Amino acid sequence: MVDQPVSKGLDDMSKSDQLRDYVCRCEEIPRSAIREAIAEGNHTLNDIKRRTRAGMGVCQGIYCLRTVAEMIRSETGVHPSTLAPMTARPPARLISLGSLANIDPGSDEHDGA
Amino acid sequence: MSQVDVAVIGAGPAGIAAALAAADAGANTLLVDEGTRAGGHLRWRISLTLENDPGFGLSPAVGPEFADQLVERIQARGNLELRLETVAWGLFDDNLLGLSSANGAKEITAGAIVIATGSTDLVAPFPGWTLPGVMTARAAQIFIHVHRVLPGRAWAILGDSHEADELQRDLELAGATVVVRANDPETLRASGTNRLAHAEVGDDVYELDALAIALGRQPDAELALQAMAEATFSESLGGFTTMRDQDCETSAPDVFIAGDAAGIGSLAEIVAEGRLAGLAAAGADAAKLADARAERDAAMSNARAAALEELHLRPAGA
Ligand code: FES
Repeated sequence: MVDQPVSKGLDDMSKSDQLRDYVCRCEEIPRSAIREAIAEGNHTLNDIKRRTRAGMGVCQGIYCLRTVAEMIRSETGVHPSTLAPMTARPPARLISLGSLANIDPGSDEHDGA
Repeated sequence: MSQVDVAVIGAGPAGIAAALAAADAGANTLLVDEGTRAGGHLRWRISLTLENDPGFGLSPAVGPEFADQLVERIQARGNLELRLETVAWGLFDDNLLGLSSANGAKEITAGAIVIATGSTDLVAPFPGWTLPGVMTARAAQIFIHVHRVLPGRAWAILGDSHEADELQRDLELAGATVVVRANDPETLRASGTNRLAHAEVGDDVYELDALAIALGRQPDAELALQAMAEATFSESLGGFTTMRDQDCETSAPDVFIAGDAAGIGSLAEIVAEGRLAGLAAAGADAAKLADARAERDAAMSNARAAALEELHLRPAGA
């Protein structure tokens, strides 16, 4: 327990830090943008993804969709169990376009590659 | 003609149990993992196997040593191939599996797939949570136990999960101090210039150099969802995952799911489930399956049993 005033913590937080309440850190989508999208009537994970890009980043929504689902619950009362998860599309991990372009289907020789 | 009988995605405890069971049932089995070593969270949650063997019939040992014993067992099977540093990036119709490694991307077909991709850490945003110095509990444990780096001396931990307790113990053993535990992301605020320096918890301010988010874990079932397996959400299983029948088969034919990917569970639960999924994927005979089911049921806690019941598990073969 450090006995210093609360303002100490606030002082070294710049204005932009305060705004950095990102729900989706990959795409830098703040809480306010998600809230707005919900208010506009987007009440599914796919709708909010299309409206805001939340869930379209490198992590493919791993770190933000649950928060979005919780926000939908608190703003609209829709329980996550009645929401479909975001449509899962390949690739599940980052891979290069070059390696995809060079795919040789059925080339696997069990070569340990 | 499939190139392998069974492909298991993820070489954590559940995936290893599945792969060993499939190989023992005679299936030509491939086990892939994106990491450099097999063992999954045994490599960073090092106390899980310290006192109890979760069902492999091995001596209890610290996590990484326990994982090494499992690797030896894998290597002793002629019909089981372990491929590390290999990412499974897509699962398509007819069990066409997209893999990628340093040698490029390729596609293989498998008679059956077992998805054992484990979990990811739950997070909750709060002001300043993207500052360097703020990380998930898992990241902190990987720093400490895999990379042997202590990423901070003075810590705050967010969450009252058992992952939070586990991390506190690890940090203190590593010589760090847990300055404050916070339970509610709504009353937490991290700040600092360029990196974390302070956290406010309610009205109190603490000087820190690291903050771990330890709110628990959620299943990572993305590949099963790509295969269009019917999805579900369960609070007690940790979030979104997929439906499956009593032998862990999803609604996508010949796609099985086991372990934390199928719902966060204890190590004994996920190992027993992995073994059952591996046997079912390999088409093991009815007697073996019945034994594995009984073992799974014996390992299963009442909480998981209730959660699965609530989900209206798919009837077998439906
Ligand atoms: S946090 Fe939203 S896509 Fe990664």
